Formats: sequence, structure tokens, C-alpha cells
Amino acid sequence: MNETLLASLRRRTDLAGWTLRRLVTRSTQLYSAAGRIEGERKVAEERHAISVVVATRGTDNSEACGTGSSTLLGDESPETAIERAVEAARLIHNPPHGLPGKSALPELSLVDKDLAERPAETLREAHATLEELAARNKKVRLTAAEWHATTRSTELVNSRGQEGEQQETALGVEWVIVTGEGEARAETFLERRLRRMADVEIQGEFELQAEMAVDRQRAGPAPDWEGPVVLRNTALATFLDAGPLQFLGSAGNLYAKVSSWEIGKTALRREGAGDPLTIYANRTLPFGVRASRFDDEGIPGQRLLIVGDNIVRGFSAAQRYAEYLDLPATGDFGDLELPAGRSPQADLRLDPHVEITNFSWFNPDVVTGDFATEIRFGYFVEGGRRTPFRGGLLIGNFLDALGDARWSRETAFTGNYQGPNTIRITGLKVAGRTAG
Amino acid sequence: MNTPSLTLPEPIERLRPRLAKAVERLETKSPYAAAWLGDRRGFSISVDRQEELVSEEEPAAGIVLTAFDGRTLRERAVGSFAAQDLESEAKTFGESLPPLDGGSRLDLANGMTGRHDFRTAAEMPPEKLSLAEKIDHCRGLQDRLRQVDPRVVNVRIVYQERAETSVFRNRQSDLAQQIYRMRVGVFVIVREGETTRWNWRFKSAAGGWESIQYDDEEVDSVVEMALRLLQAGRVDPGEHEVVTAPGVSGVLAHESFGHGVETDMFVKERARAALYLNRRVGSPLVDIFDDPSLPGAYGMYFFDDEGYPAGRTQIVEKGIFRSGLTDLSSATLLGVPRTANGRRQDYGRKAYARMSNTFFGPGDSSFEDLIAAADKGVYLHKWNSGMEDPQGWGIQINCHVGQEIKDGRLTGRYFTPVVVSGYVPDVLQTIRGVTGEVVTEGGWCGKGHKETVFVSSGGPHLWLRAKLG
Repeated sequence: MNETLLASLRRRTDLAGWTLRRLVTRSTQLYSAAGRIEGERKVAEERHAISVVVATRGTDNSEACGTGSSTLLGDESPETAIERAVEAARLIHNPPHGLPGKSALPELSLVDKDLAERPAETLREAHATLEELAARNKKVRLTAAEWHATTRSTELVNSRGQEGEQQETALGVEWVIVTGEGEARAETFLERRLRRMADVEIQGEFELQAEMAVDRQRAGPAPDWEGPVVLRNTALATFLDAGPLQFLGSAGNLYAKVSSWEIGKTALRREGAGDPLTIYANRTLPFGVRASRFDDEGIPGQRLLIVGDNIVRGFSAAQRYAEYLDLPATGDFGDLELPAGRSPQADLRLDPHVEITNFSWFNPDVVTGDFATEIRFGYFVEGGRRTPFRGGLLIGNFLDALGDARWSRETAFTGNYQGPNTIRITGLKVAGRTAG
Repeated sequence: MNTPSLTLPEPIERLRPRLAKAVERLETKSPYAAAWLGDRRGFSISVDRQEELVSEEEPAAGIVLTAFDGRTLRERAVGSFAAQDLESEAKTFGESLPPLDGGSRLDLANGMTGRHDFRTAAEMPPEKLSLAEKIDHCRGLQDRLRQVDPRVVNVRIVYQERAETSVFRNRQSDLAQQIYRMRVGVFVIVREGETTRWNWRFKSAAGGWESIQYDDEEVDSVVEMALRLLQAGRVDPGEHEVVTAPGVSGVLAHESFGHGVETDMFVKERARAALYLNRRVGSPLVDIFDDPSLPGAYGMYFFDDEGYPAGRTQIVEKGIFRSGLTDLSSATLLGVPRTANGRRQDYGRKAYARMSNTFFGPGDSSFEDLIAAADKGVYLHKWNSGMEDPQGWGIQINCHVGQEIKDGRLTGRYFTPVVVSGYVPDVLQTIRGVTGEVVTEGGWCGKGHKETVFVSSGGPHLWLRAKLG
């Protein structure tokens, strides 16, 4: 920690509160394209992030407060950086709120030792394994890959005595796997954000992507379909992590009156025929990409019940919204966790159904949950046959879909999600062939 | 615009003269070397009925040293502008490079020699206004909408300002630029019974405060549309005649012959467009451009992050695909001309081939012509996102508002959300009408789901057929 900066903050008697974070980041990046190493990068950074709370007066002279933030960069003086944050805070007149107090922080698993201690070697070894698998496969070729390893150390101190340190690793992976030539060429694009290399099952993932690339080459147009839709593993995580749960479950959005959820009332728009829905926002998930001992305010990582048996039970709340709404301060939302479902995965995959393996971008309206999204790739499963297709639109409403869902007993971890590995949603619509 | 009076932040000004030596040192080991200093700072103001926030955007400030041998691009980056960090990185990086094979330099002439300084033109540069004045401006817009309709549950005004400074140095050029990017957004949330809808509008520009002002009618129209959406339904899925507003046209350009012609995707065998150079990909009414030099457009710059001077690239000419968008590495590997599209998110990321301001060229129809020509269709007013599929040539454009067209007239019946999908050449082949005015709208763009850069996209109104859902 920059002791001069810390001393400067401690001397400021005009501040109602302050938080200081020191962030040290090291990143190693490996890029491969066209069968060779295309690029290598190493990045180093250290920064100090300051946030302050200042008591102000509202336009009616009522008690108010403002917050401001700044980052100390280079050889800037601490006083200049602090004053920049204070200047902004003095102009703001919000209802008064405080900062998180001193509290115990959980011990969490956030670090891949190899990525932290020997990142370049670990990335090269993983890439070599991938290249070897690709070289052995006669049907597909690896045309590009990116591997990013980042280690970040964070120290936090605030004016109420909260202190913490944490180290975390992050792994970014992208693979392009291609089959065919010319007009017959087809690809799959794998994109993962994880904390450790062990969560990339390189062989299994490669074989799955290779199979999908081959299937994509022979894929036809999407069927017209209204009936069960199945999502598994990363496609399911993508669906759940698309925004509405975080938006509606945010105390900030409740305070702004843009979330329609209320504690004790149903989270769904209507009662569906599916399994009861239970959702945790979990900032303690081992190796979860959003897990943290403490968030930017210093609020400890925790596992928060957001929805229990279809009923809204909690909101993820920063300190200010917790105080404004008389809710527990929980900090950032974290990763999604759902309990295991009741049905064997095999039952949920009974045909007929449509399985979507890749969306172009599942991007529902976060306020209403309505969506229509292009299907990048999927299968129509009927009579024991899996017929690949691409294109077409999946149409529905996110909350209605969760109300009509059945969840698998078997579970998966995808970095941002822990829970059932399969969902079967009844009654979604696929606009395919007749849609052009 | 060459503006020698440019005043750089003091740490960058101090470091700039030392870059030549770092490049020279690296070129003892590498056929080509360059140094780049990037400093991006910004903040946002948010004012709504419940609270006000001023938030610093996480700054990104640092040095990138590049060594390129024509095949492999190696970089070291450090988040600092300290002279000792530059010298230490140049020394250790140079020592880590493989021996120079043959000793020849790569000729990577970038079209600019010597020293040039640039900054965005502005009648009222944003740094001339205080933070208090900017907050008051947001409060004023928010107050304007305070009592409009009881169904309005909140109105949020968002102001975003970013100052980007970069310096590029290689053996022949010494370039600096300073660019201000600003956006003002108006968000309205309305509720009636159990139905909640929202609407928004953004104005964006690279330049001065004068470019992002709203008049009363523009602000009121955001509320008016939000209220109309309370009764909006879903469009019948299927193929429709479509008229696209300029912003929606822009997303079509961006996702079809924008991402799909970034030539790093050619190297990775990810772009079907590589098979279509000088072949027809759209109707003869289709012209698509990328132009980082477009004055005032949100994605503008004077030189790219690899030192190449900004200029217009015609990607599609009368329906024929003519040129990709290149960065240094892919242009060298493919042996194709450079365009000014080597861009990096910040010093922590490598440069890729990226868009700047991407838009359809103008035609000669009027908006009234296009609506009158559609028997039964949808006018797509407003977009919120898009996604590319350069290999499969699928397209997804998420639109927030569609309005029914029937018998050549807008009926006042609205749809939300509406998604455009289809096969890129099929969609571009159906373009049968193009209006004369070109408008761009600012936003951000990722490569997949990362590597954010600021861009704009736009065009005139288009008349086409596409799948909607």
C-alpha cells in the first residue's frame, strides 16, 4: 500500500469516509494463428484507487452526502488525486449513507498456482496440448487460439477499519476450430473465462468443438418449432447469466424503481408448470470468476439467496442501497448458483426437442425479459436422431421460460455458474424455415 | 488537422523524446519496432429522480513496446509513464528477443514521416466546462422530464466523457493525438399496471460540447415513445419488408461488412468474405465505408494505434466487396494494403483490425418513398446491440422499437423487442431503396465479448427484406 497516500487520507478531517485499494496486475498473453505463434505480450500494472464520501447539503439544506473516486497514476501527488475525488463528491447531494464496517472475510479458492507462478510456461503447455490434439484430428484444424493469464493482488483499507487482501487469477481462452475449405468451411468458436487451467478440459472441449464444427458443416436451416428446448452446460450458463437476474436482483435498480421485483412476491411473471426456481448469487463459489473475499467497497464475499421456490428473497446490495432500503449489505452479485434439480438429465433429453448449443448473443431485455435471439447452432432431436441446424430465432420471455423449466439432477461448473447441467423449457418458439 | 499547439499531459510530454531511443534499441534485435503511449481517462455523471452519481472510468495509461519480425508480434506493456520503466522495459525486452535473422529491416512505411500533432476540433471543448456545469446540465435535462406523465417512474440522464491521448513512435514518424469522446443519454422508465417499459436516446460525438445538446422535442420524444411501448406487442416471426433507421442501418453495416472484413479474421480462416474479394455481396445500391477521419463521429481518430494515418476505406462499392480493414500484422501476413484500423482497447491489449466509423453510403430515395413503397412491413427505429458471425455470415440485430407499415403508411402500432436475423448476402441483396442523408450513432464494439473500442455506425434509411422475430 502507498503509505503516503494512506497517511494523506487519514489526515483529511473533511471526509465522512474513504476507501483505498491497491491493485497489482500481471498479465501474460499468447496468440496463435495459422499454425504459428502470432504474438506474445506481457503486461504489468500497479494502481491505487481512491473513493471518498463527503457530507454535503441538499438544495433544501437537508443532510446529504456525495461520493467521488479517482485513481492515482504515475508520479501524481496523493493530495491531487484525493482532491479530484473530493471535488466530485462535494457537488453531489444524495441521502446520507456510510461505508462497510470491519468484518471478517471468507477464505476462498481464487488462485491457480501455475498461472500465478509460471504463466508463460503454463499457457505454452496448454497450447501445445491443444495443437497436438488438433494435429491428430483429420477432420478439423485449429486456426487460431488466444490464452490470457492474469494475476491480480488487491489490498483494501477503509476509514471504518475494514482491511483485506486477496490474490486471484483469471484465465481467458479462445479457440477457433475449422473444418472444410471455401464455401464448405465451417467453424466453432470457443470462448471461456475461468480462474484456473484445470477447469479447461482441453481434450474433452476440443473433441466437442471438433464434433460441432463437423456437424455445423452439414447443418441445415432451423426448424419451425414450438415445444421443449434444451440447454446444457455453457449454453445454459450463457442463458442464465444474460442479465435479467442481475438487473432485477439489484438493490440499486430497486431503489431506482426500475426493478419490478419485491421481496416476498413471485419472481416470475406468471405461475408456470416447471420446477420451483431457486437462485443464489454466490461470491464464495470456489474458483468462481466473480468470487471475491471482498468487493470494491470491502463488503465480504457471501452466498445470497435471491429467489427461493419462485419467491424473491433478497437483493444484492451495495452499502448505500442497503441503508436506503433497509436491506443487508451484500456487495456485488457474484456468480450464479442453482441447486441440483429433480430429474435425471436423460429424462430431460428425451425427444422430441430442440437443443441450442450456441447463441449468436443471448441478449434479452433486462427490464421485461423478452427476447428473440439468433441461434448460432443447435440440434433438432427426434426419433433418436440429432439433426444439426443453424440460424433461426429463439423467441420467448426469460422469466416465463424459468417458470416452465425442469432442471437436471446432474450438475456442472462453468466458471460463472454452478448448478444443474441441463434445463428443459417447455413452450419456447423457434422461428425457422418458414421465417425465411 | 495538424495542430502543433497540442498540449500533452506532462508525463507523456516528458517521455515522448525518449521513445526514439527505445525504438532504436529494439531495432538492433528486431526488423521493426515501435513505441506507443496511451492514456485514456474518463468519467460519467448519472442523475435520476432518486440519486446522483459521478464515477471515474477506470483509467488506462501505459507504454507499449512492439517488436515485429513479419510473422510474430511481441510486446511488453507497463502501466507507467516513468522514464526508468521505459528504459528498463526496452532493455529487458530487447534482451529477450531472438537473434535478428539476416539483419534486414522490415519496410513498413506508414505514410507519415516526421512529427505531427492532432486534436479533435471543438467550438466548446469539454475541458472548458467545469464538472459542476456538466452536472447542472444533466440536472436540467432531468428536471425537464420530472412531471411529464404519472406513468414515468424514473428518468435518468447519463453523461460520459473520455479524453484519449496517444503517442506513436517508430523509426520514421513521431505522432501525437488527443481525442475527446462524449455521450449524453436520456433513459425513461414507465409503468402501467404490471407492464414496465423503457426507452432511451443517446447523442455522441468526438469533439465539442456543442455536438451533444438536446432540444425539448428530442427529449420529449424519448418519453413519448416509452409510453407508446406500454401497448407494444411482438412482431409475427417471419420475413418482412423492413425500413431501417440510420442507426439500425449502421449496425447492419457493422455486423455484416464490418466485422466480417477485419483481416485478422482472414488469417484465422474465420471470415467468409475472404472468398468474395471483388465479388458481388449485395445489391448495386450498397456502398459501405469505414472512415476514422469522419469529423465529429464518435469513433474518429487521426492515426491508428499502429501509426497509420486515418483515411476512408470503401469496403463495398455498388454491391461488390472491394477491401478489408487491416492491422499491421494481418496486412503483412496477407500481403494486402494497410488501412487505418489497427486499434487496441488500451495498453494492456494487442492491436487487432477494428472498425472506426462504419456506414452505408447515401442513395437518392426519400424516407417517404421507402415507407410508401412497403405494402406490409416494419420500420425499425432503434437498435440496442448486434452480433457478427464472419464465417457463417449470420447476423443478429437487436432492435428496441419497430413500427408497423401497412399499405405504404406507418400505422402507429408498435413492437418491442424486434430482432433482425438472416444470411448477410441475402439481406444485402434485398436492399431496394436508400435515402440521401447519412447519420452515425456512437457506441462501443467488442471482438467477440472483449477488446472494447469506441466506434460509430450509421447510414441512411434502407428498404430491404429480412427475417424478424
